[in-house]
Amino acid sequence: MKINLSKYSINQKLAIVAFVLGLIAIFMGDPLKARIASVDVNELSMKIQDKSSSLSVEDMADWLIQKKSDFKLIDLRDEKIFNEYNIPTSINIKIAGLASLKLSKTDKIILYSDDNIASAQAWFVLKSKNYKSVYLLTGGINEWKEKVLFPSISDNATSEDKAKFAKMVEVSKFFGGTPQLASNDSTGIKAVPKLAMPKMTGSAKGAPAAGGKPKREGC
Amino acid sequence: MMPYFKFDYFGADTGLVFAFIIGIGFGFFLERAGFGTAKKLAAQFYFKDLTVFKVMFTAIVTAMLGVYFLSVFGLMDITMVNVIDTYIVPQIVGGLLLGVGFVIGGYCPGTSVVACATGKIDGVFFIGGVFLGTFIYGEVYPLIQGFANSTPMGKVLMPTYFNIPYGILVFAVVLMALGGFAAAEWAEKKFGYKKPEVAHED
Repeated sequence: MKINLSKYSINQKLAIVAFVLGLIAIFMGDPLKARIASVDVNELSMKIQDKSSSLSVEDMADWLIQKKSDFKLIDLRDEKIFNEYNIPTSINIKIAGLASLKLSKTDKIILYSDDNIASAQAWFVLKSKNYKSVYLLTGGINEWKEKVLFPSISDNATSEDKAKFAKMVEVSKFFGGTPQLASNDSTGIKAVPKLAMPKMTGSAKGAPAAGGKPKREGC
Repeated sequence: MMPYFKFDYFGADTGLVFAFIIGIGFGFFLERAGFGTAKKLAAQFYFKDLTVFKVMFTAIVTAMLGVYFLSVFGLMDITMVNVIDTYIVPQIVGGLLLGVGFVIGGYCPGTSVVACATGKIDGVFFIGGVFLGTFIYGEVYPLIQGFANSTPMGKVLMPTYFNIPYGILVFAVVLMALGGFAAAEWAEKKFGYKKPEVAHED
């Protein structure tokens, strides 16, 4: 059978191909340091629009009370204010640090900052790095304070609102906050009190942050 | 985006189906390369027949070039490929143990399964030994735990460890492989069975 028209055997041809590819590799750069990411623009814009990638502070509080630990909570604020107060189980990473984040791409990641802006930016960075499930905490730490730590109710609240408030009072106490009970103050506007790092009444703090069932891998 | 499993394109159950198919392919080619016979595997340690070395290095170079180019073209996220942690001293000791077992038994764990599948008695015994050894290791693990976890280095990759550009390392491994092939051919000619006299070996 005369397959090779050239003087080289198939093995030699393959060796030449490997050599050439290896030679090209010298000039192709480092895949570990890839900074260029491609994103599915459609998917991203859909997710931004339908809000399926955000999480309310109430749900976050519920998760912590239930001692869920299948997520990583990332605080994007400055270290100084992070040390003053942070949501239990959170870790402090700045946006610039996200590029070298060492988390599994399938980990559930929840981002928060003071408000929505920084966390939305960080969300985009992580999504373009192909992290699968990234959520942002709606309203950030401000909404957390307002709704979870220091919930308030106005005098003319409906009974439905009152029932909701009763629940939030419990939640608030769990996280060491102080519910703002209805007062005779006719303005109905209450200033959010100055916040000190509250003592946790529960023990959600320090809960293991490990992901759920790890995927089997390796040989 | 690869690796598909890590990006949740399918779950663990579907993953097992793919693993099954890939495993059959892997076993098929091991058998076709002659890895199912202990004589062929052991012959490489006497430089008589270096097929195993050549097949392994071909696989390494093919996989390396594939992973490298898929990554630089953005089709694959290389950081998600599983790399087990390095524990240098225990792994050297373990590697030596495995090598001794390889020379004595004529199989590595994977090829012993191939030999077993083709009905080779020594392959069956070898697998029995693998299970027994695994069991004993599990039982004595508390005693050697300190050693097994010593000298941890975390996940180590050659480009970052030696601080040389990735592409140059790829090229160096290709050169190493090609040099290895040439040396293997030479050794086979020098030490190998002379083709017409193969029958005399037994």
